[in-house]
Amino acid sequence: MKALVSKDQNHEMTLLFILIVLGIAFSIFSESFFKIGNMLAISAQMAELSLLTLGMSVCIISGGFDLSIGAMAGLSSVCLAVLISSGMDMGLTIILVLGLLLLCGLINGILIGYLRINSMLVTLGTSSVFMGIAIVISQGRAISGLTEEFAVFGQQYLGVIPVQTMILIVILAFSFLILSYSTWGRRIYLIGSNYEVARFAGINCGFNIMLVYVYSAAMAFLASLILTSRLATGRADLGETYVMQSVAAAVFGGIGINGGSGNLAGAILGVAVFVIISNGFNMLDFSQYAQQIVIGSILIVFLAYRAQRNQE
Amino acid sequence: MRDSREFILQIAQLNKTYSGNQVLNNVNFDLKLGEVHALVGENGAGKSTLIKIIAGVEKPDPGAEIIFDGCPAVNLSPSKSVQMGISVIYQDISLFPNLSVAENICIGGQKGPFIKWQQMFETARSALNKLGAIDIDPHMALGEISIGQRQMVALARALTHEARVIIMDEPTSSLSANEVKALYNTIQILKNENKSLIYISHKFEEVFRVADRISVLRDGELIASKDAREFDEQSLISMMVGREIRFPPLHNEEVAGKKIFEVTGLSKEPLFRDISFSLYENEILGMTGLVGAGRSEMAQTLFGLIKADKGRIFMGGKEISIKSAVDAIKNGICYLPEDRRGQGIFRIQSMAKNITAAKLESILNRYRLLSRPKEMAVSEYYMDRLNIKPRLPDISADKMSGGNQQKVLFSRWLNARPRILIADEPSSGIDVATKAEIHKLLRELAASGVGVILISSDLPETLAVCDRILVMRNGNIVEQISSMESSQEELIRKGLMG
Amino acid sequence: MQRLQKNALFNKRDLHLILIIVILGFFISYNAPEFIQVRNLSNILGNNSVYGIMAIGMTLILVTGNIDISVGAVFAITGMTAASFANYADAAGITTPFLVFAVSMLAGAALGFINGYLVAKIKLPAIIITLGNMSIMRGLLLLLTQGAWVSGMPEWLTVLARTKYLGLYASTYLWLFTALFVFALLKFTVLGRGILAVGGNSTGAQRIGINQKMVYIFVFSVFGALTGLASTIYIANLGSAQPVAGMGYELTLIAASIIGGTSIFGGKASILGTCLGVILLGIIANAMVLALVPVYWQSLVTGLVIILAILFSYREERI
Repeated sequence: MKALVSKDQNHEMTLLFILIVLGIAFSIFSESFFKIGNMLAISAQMAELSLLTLGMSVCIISGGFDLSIGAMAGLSSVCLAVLISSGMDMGLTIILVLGLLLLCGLINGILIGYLRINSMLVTLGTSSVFMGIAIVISQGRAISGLTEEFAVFGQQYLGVIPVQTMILIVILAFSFLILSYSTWGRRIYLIGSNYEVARFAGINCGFNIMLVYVYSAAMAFLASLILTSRLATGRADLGETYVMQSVAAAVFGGIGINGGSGNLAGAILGVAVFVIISNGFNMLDFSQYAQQIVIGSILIVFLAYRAQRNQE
Repeated sequence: MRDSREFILQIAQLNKTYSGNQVLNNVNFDLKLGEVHALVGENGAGKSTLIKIIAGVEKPDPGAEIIFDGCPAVNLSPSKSVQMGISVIYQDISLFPNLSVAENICIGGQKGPFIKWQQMFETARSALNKLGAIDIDPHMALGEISIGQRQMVALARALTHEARVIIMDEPTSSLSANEVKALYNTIQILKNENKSLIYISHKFEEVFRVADRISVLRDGELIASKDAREFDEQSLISMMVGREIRFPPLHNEEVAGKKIFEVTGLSKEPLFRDISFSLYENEILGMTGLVGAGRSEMAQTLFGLIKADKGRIFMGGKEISIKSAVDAIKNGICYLPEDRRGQGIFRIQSMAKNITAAKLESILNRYRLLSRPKEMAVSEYYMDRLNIKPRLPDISADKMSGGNQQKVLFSRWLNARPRILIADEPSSGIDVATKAEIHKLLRELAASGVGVILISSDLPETLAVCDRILVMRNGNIVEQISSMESSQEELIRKGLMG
Repeated sequence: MQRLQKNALFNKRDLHLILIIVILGFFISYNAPEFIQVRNLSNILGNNSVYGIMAIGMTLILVTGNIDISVGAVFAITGMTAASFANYADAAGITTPFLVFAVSMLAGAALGFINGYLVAKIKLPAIIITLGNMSIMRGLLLLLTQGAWVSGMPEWLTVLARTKYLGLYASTYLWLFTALFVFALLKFTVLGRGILAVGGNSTGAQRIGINQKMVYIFVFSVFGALTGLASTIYIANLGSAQPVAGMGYELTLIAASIIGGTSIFGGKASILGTCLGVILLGIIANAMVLALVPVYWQSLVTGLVIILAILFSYREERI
């Protein structure tokens, strides 16, 4: 059995197992946990972190990091709010802001892919700049005055299914497709496994890495679209707490921190574990602080266990 | 055993196997006090493995007996061997580019919690002076001095640490003539202080100049260990090569066909300059010379990884421009790199992904997406054709033997439909059977119209497989010979000495 | 001439930074004369000593090729510990700040030890381990305190914020001592050179018998202790401690170190450079206040400075 299941699949099985155990535990202690309504709520809660984690995961798979996703989300949120509250057409606004974020991603990508500057340094610096622009535009305030129409992304349902869940499903399917079945996705794995080998295999590393950061900027945009709509405000700092959470979820979901391994299904399971813990704890009236402790502990214990096993 | 006081190091019944490959076979080696003991042998003969075991970096197979200074040395580790007084001078590995020269010399030997800078500089100065390296300033950061000077710094460290056994691995490979002279003096000084040296070199001139005793390793076995005076150049070369040409000659019978590839005046300072050669249909062109002669760099330039200063490249009579590896592959130039682990194989990826990496276009379906059935078909085709076993495309590459990994690399480039295939040391560290398969494959490729360039330091191989041989030294092509009319000895002399 | 450079107190990078700071200073004083006043300058040095002390610790971590994301949480915990202890001590009739400092630094060192131990023991990048620890520490702190502040600091502690010697605040001297201490550690001790050696070539360091695990544990513990020192100054300045203090500090500290010429790949550090980096960021912030630029420009300007510094060192390293 063990020989047939590859390491990656093994890891996802473990995560699934953790999810089921958590689900049973919460169902025992709280009647309302295992209801369709709550399940849909969980899927909606997952959307924002999931989208950012997708972006982060692809960066990590390619052998880098994008610490600027939070700042990009903040910048996008502020721009969306300012433009829409000033009466601009929603469709045009979305196109403009998406364009702006892709430009941000392009800047990251050029510095990292072509100039070969360390991704952590670059995104650390650009995150300050993006955040700075967002704060300047918003003058440090939360911007309200968003239209009814704009609420569609974070507050409304398609039938019984929350719109953000739909967005997540579509994006997840799309991302899974391009990462597993496009030449770009394959090359990202190869570059992440060993940059030098990829170079010697004739892969255009600079260009492919650049696209990684454009992709993660696009994810930051979508996450901020949902967040801004859900909160009905534009805020510069709205993405900040998600940065480290997305790293944690990705790594927890089996994305190898050294690049080249892991897959998006695992990353989403990682997000699911985090969100279910937080949802379940809320039902049980546990404080969010306890959640933080549990999530941190699981992360460290689980990773230590895995690192230990890999050594053997 | 002989009187142990005469010997500082005695090694008996040393075996070493890497994943089923025996690299050292029952080696008995000893080192006398105050002796310079040269270790010679071809690439892959087992010299570096022997050194690594003495330095504690690699563990021998059980049953080996290592006696240092009369005491059995068990469970050697790198730091333990340093403490015992064994100092290996690797090119760069043991130095700290961010620290000063003086610290690199003195590090590890300080007493007390505080650094005594003044004393350290003086110690370093006197060690360097002893080596005649008066031009090296101990205050400079190590990263700022030349590679040759770093070698002197490493030597000075061995001197300062009162090492009793000093192992030098190709110490002159990056030294200038003056530095080499200083090195000879140093060796004399060390001998006078009753230190023992193991000296590894490809250059016979040096070996005869410094060595008291010479041991010859061939294919993991210690062939001879005799007083240096009992050897002469001829006997040493024939001992190193030892065997009849093991590979059946695979020369092509027909007279060379039309010219398919030409390079003129290709230069990249300081790596190589003014490289011009042509490649004819149906021909395997050999390139030989010492490591560092510029062969790999030249090949990487043709493959677009290094930008040439000048030079022109013609494919089938038409000039082509190669600015990147993508260009090179588009033009059908493929390069199979020398460093399999560092440049060739994606170790954590499957065999299939390794095979298809350079030409993903070959496994696309009609929606331009990767097709798993196609990927399997392509992988299995090459695994069959190159006889890669077990035939499991999904197994990760690091679980396979070196020979299989090399075949996977060949598959990768065959799948990229090469017009010119440059194979850089394709048979290094690979068992004999696989070597022969690879040679056959190269010949088949040449026969099918692919231009094949074989870069190799393995002379029997070069002579057996190639039709024409270019010899490179210090970045220049120094000789062009037909393999039919030359011998290994002649080749060694031209490439290695000169 | 290489030699001159090596022997001089400043390296080239530090000189560049000093030059930039001086030019910037002239420019600012031209537009806002109050900048150059002693009172303003001493305020800049005083206000930034909290960052300054911690940035030195972060530099020490970066030298070994590691990183510490959890510093903000350690800052908050030690701050709360120090504040609670100060109130407790005051009730018990103790009126010396030294004990408060000692307790805070010990708490910080203990937390740093945990970080260092895990980094040395588990073969995982420090960024992941300290990330997990940050979550645990911050969570624990918030759980225990329920988010409540500790205020009403005793007078004998808060007086430190106003104490000046020779025109400089007491905290500035603590920063200076820290800088000298760590500078001396790196320059004159075998341990310090070992830290640099591990950062420059960790395999080589192990070959000559340097205990890499001990080095990791040591630098993380020192960073913890320095964070404790800084947080005590912080609560003395503010007169209160908050469990949410220190959020986002890690980025500022890493930025100051990088601006000062420390490499995140390890092996290269300049303590003076780090201090100059903190001062540069501090001056920019101050100038913007003086120029009545709204505070919300600060992040943008800081970001641009960081990007410039990165591009600058990138160029330097390539050539």
